[in-house]
Amino acid sequence: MRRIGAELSLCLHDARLRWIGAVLALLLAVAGLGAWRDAVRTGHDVDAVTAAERARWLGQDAKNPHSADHFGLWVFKPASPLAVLDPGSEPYTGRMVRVEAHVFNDAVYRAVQEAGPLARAGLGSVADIVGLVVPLAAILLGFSAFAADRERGTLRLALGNGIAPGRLFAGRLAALLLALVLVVGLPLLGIGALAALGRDAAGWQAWPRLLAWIAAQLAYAALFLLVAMLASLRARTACHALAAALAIWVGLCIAAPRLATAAVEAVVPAVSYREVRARLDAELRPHRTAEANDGRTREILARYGVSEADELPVDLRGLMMVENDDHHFALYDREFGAFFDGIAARERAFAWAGLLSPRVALQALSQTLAGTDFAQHAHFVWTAEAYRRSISERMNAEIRDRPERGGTTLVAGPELWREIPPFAHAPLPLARARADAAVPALVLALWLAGVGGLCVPLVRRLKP
Amino acid sequence: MSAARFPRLLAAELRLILRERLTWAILAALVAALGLAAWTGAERIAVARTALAAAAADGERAVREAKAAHLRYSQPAAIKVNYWQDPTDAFGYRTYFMAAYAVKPPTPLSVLAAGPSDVQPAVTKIDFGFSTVFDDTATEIGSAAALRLGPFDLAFVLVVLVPLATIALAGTRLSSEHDSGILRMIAAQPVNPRRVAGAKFGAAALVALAATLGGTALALLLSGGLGNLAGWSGTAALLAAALAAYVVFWVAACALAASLWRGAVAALAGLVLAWACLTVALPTALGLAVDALAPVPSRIAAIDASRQAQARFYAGDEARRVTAAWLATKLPDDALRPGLADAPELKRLARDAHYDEALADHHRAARAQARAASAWSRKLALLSPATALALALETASGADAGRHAAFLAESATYRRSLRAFFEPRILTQALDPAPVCAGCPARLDFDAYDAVPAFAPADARGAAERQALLTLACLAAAALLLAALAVWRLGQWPA
Repeated sequence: MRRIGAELSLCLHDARLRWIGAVLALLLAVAGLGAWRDAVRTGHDVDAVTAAERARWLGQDAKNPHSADHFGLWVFKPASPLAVLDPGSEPYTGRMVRVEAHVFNDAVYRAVQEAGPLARAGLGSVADIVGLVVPLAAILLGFSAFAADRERGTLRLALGNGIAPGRLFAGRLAALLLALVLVVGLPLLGIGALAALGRDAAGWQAWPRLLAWIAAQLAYAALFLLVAMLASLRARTACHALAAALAIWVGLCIAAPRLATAAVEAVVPAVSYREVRARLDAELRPHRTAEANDGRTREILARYGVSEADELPVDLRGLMMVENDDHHFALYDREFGAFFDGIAARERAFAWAGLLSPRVALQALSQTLAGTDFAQHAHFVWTAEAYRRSISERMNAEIRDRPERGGTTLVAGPELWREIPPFAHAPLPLARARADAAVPALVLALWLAGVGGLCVPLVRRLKP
Repeated sequence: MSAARFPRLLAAELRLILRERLTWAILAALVAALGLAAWTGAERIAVARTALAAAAADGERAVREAKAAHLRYSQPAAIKVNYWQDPTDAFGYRTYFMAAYAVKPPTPLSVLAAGPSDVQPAVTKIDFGFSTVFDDTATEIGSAAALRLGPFDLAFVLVVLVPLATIALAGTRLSSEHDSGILRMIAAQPVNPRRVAGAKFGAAALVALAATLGGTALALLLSGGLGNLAGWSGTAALLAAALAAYVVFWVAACALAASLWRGAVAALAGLVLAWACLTVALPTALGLAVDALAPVPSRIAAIDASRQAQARFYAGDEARRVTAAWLATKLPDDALRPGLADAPELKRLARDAHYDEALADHHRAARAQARAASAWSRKLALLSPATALALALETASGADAGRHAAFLAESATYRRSLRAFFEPRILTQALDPAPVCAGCPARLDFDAYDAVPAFAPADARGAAERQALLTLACLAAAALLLAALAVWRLGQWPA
């Protein structure tokens, strides 16, 4: 402990740490507080429009239930409080869905659509800064750990004094880790706490998520500290250590993540959304023709053993709408189910692609823990679709069970509208996130173990 | 040493640099990266072309099926045909049969950059009604992880990796000699430090230029992603010159770092940090500046406005009143004809016009913001060599924000032209419903399927050429400035 204290004291007196800490704190504060301000503003807007939509639904005039079904409403995806730290897939997926009769609408208006052309440069969020800049900070802190001493000749002095190389390495690693916790962990905890204390955090299990999230970021930072120390153990000079560590940083944090994209796209082919929509249209078109409609009408009349619609115990139009929707629901389940499964498979592949770059593994782990991964989006899309179906089913049942006779038109009012509850969306629980995080966490652990393992023989054979 | 011996010095340095194994490792990695990036670009273009072909085929299919249904329902039959199943009804055809698309085709140089094309679909099916709250409603869901990490495209390799390769080639020239003490020996010779530096960095520049330009050309040729360059060769040449200026800029930065005489560690660290600032930090800051200069209007507010308009329209007798007012502008002589304001298709047209009017301010604000963001980005991008080159590549690829904003506006104009085409025909059919034949299921007589206007994509060539020229000028100026600074500082050997 005394050694760690001494090393930490040396580290804290190093101007490098102050500079790195100041730059990191500034970057994290700008990104985090900006995201927090936007999240609060958007949350207020969403709450106001959600309340207005509910009032519009309940306050609509008396009309045919099918018209009310077409009137529909908009529902909004609740943002995870930790989206302030890692927006994950949220900017790339739609935030709002129009719920209306017949149509499985897209979640539309992705934040990335309205972002400026320069906004995807790489440091847009706290998570981006951790993914890209924190490794650089760790390298700048750790590259000189042994190489500079070796260059100056002080390593020979230290080893000559009888200090075991392992203890020397452990002491320096622990001190640098503590320094990293100070300059990375504390700012993240501060921003995260601000987000977790927000009014929209209910149901998200924000605190356990936050602590796990920060632990993942620190593990990632520690990995690059180990990389820098590995280079420092091996290199003859600090220059070589820095050059090697920077080359590794460029490879792992800049080039490999995009290589991972190309690799996953090549290995896990996915059907495009456009193709899915085209296939659905192709299946729905023959169902909509007059001939198909006529065939279904005759089949229903035959099923009830009558020859005229007025003889049916139910409303023919209502019954046909129920059966049409059942047909559509099955199609949507099949096509969109397969499509979303395909995307989920790609997302899982990215977790394994973390073997190419720890930044990729961290991205998968981080967004899962933050509750901003694609699984959360898919869960929202299907919840909105279930809500849409519940409205359609209720409206169709009303029409089906109240046959229009003698040219009358069914008109429903507020009693029926009130039967539709407000849209409620509960996020996927933390237990699900833990399960989804297993692979990227394992991959990150493998990286840590691998680099740590590479350090062991070098420490044992440490030469001045 | 006389100037006449400089080429011999340069040749000697060139031989030295080419003898280093590290040089060949860097060049091999760079060429492999260029090859892979060109291949992913070619794949991307193939997907874009498939989407365009599918849209065209869908449009033809819609016309074919409408004609077949027209023929089928123009024979006497007992079947009942509703308006949404009837292509002889102009409103029915427009709303339920027609497949009209606005498309943004790839340019011959699209292989160079994906840009924001991965989040901005280049094919938009024209729709009417609720979904037109904004021009950019079309969406293409994909893997968010891939979108976050970005594609491995040529723009990434050229803008981000080429400087790193250049730094790896030239970053420690002179400074490593300084560290090892060899520089003292060189300085003891009767040779001007500028000539030595010129030979060293000149050799590195020649190698980096040959690898970057040659590798890019080779990758483009082998990938097959390059389109027909007729009319685009000027833009391609300007881009090649801009790329050369970009490489020279980074070599000049290496020379400047060496001229500080702080050793290889400081030179390398400084260069990598400068690279991180220019390719990552500065573009992020510029992005924030664009957000501040062209703030995004609230989508949620626009959706709320659209819903208010919808709720208003369906409240009480408002739908009838709005339809009657709309009819009074379209059919002044027949607007008061009994039952006309209750015709569902006319009510729908009036409703769409009512929505358009209610959302006009939001539409205008969104379009103005897209134009402003694109204009500010074009200006601010010139502040960083990396963003300047990226923007030139994106513009040549037709994937830039300016072209997309124009495409969305053209799509909206096309939607209006389709409305202008159908509205008089729908009104005529409402005033004088004439079936194709008596006793036929077909309700009306619309058959102008081939006369429906087609979307005409705008040419992206002019903008691409202008941006490439501007980028070349800026990068050449920046490279010259850095080189001049380095030459000035390298006037003397270090003490």
